[in-house]
Amino acid sequence: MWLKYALSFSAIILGVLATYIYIFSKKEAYRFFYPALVLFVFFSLVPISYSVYVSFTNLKTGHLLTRDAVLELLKSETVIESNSLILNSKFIKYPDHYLLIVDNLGAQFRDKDSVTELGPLALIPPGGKELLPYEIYEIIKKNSTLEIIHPGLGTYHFLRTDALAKTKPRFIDNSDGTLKDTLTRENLVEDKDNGLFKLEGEQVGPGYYTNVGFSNYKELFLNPEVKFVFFKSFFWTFSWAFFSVALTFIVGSFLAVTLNEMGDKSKLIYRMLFIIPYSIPFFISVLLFKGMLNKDFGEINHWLSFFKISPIPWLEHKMWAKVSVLLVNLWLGFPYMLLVITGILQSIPKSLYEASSLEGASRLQNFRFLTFPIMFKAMIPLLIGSFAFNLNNFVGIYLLTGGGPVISEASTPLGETDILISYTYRLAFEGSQGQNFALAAAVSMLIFILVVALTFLNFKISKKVSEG
Amino acid sequence: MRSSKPLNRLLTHLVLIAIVFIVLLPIFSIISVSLSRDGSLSGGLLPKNFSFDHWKYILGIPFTNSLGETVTSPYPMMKWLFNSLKVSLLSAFLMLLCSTTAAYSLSRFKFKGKEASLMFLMIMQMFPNMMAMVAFYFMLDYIGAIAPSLGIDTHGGLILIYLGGTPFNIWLLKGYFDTLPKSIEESARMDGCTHFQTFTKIVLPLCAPILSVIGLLTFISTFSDFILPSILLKSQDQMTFAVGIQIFISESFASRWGQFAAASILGATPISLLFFSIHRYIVDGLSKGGVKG
Repeated sequence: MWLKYALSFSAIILGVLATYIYIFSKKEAYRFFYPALVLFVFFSLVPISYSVYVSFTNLKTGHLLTRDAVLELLKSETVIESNSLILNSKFIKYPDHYLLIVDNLGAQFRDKDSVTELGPLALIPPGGKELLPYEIYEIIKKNSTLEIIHPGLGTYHFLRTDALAKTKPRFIDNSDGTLKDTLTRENLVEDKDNGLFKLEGEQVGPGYYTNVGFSNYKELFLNPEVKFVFFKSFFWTFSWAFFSVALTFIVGSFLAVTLNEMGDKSKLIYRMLFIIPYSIPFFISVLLFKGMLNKDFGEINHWLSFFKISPIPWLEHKMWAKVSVLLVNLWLGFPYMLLVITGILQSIPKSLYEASSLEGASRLQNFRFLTFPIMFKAMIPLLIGSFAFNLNNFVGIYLLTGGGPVISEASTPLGETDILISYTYRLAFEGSQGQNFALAAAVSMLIFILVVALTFLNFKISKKVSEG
Repeated sequence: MRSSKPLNRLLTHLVLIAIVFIVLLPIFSIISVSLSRDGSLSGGLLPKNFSFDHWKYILGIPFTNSLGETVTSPYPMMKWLFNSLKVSLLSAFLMLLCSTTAAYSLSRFKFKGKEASLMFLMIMQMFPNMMAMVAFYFMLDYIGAIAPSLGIDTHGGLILIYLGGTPFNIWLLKGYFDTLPKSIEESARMDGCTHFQTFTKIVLPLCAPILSVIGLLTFISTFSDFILPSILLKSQDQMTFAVGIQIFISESFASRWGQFAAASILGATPISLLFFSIHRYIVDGLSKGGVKG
């Protein structure tokens, strides 16, 4: 519902804006900007507003429908009238009409305008073909109000594909909009806080989604079981991002500094070779590593067997799985560091080194007191950027380990290597315990706040770096 | 700044060669796996039982298997690759179209709310897309009811959603426009060009190189995207390469390893070559904002 409102609302606003910008306004800037604005509103802003909205609802398995849809469902529920007969039936198709045969009694089948006489069940007039249950089901589904009028007994409905019964709606409308159960004469009680209808304390029909305030957020921070999972994943997400950045930075800067001191030709060749991993699409590399790290047939255990190392459960054991995702991410990510650090090293003026060597500094001292401080200072914003990227590096985790191995004591599905974003994916799309869009939306809101905070930090630091 | 001692230099080279070897080992072994009949490395690095069967399999060419039967792959891998190329190319082109005008306007005109909208664009770009996937799904469902070629399980719908990622390109492009001198445009305006003419006749040709680099970057990142198409595309014929081969290999790692190796090389090579053709520009872009990594 929200989505429809948001879409129509934005469409109206954008329409008014378009008229203003292209007809009445003389400002050319707006005309250039407008097409991108439309895309931005529809495909960034509206989906984001939807996520925010969902995080305040209880949209999850069991609460996927709107209130109106649930009411509709309840109203279409029927019960068999007491003291009525259940008639066995057969449905026969002839080239130009249908024939419905009901027990030994005669009845009529009304299909729109044509009226068909019914014969006894045992006798099927020749030339016809008995319909199969699924064909009958299709017919019933198409005419939901299909009525079969029995000359002696009155109006019947299909109970099953091979039986008819006199049915009536289970619930009737009270004048005040509430529903009454015709069997027990009890009123349906609506639990508005949880989005469901109850009859004598028991839930009736599916639930609907409704605004539940901050309860998803409360759940994450206060419910001990959910809290355990959330903070475990939270902690690993930060360790993963930190170690990923640290490892790629160490390897990248070591290579960049080493290459920087070499001859031009070898520098170029080595650099080209080192950035090959970076040029391959992420998903391909990660999937390839998934195969190569396989315990039984993977190449990596095969090579290790040359050194008499017994097979390592790379993806199955909780510690090795963490090592695996970090090592693969190192392989994928160090060329990035190599590239940017090379850029920074090249921008350090040569005269600085000449001055320091005049004063008798060794190469190590040069690195310790000159190269490294300059490089690290310039790298801080990029390191934070890389950290923020890895916080949400879904492909690097999901395609390699699928988040696994699974933590058995976790109350909502979580694996040892699940970072927050892959945890969100599990909550929303992997329905082993049902889909919980609401909780997933709340988690992604928290991730958003985290990343924005990191970026502002980044901005502040970059400003400081460029100023001083 | 060469290190002076030859022994030191030799040692450096040895260490570097060892690292190159470790880094490239996975790639060598994948090439070799794709060329060996049983799809595994039973000995060293060179393929044992050399054969092109896995390549024929992914290219859809019939071949004779170990049982003597003639087989053709039931998976439309080439179709997936074609789908990916189509979607990525169109997205890159359309995205350039929309982001260039917006970036130009942000760079050249002063208007109310410019700073704020730039900031807003950037912050919104950081929202984790995972939950938006649900919204995308429903939105394409609505749109598909009106325009079936833009619904769920269509390439049109997928491209439409990709275009929502335009803001990031606006940032990159605006930075570039800022560096272009305004004097050329001003003289064109003096000669009687309208703003739009100045834009299409003067500015666009001037920045063709950077536009093509950004286009290629978009192409590469769209080609490599996995989550969105895996949620929006359902039927096998519509799948992109990333989704197709992910499903292909996930069903059975052990028995499809050789075919998957060949498919990976096929998919990675064009992207890798593209990357190397523009990597110099990417280094510039990286140090300014980070593309991936």
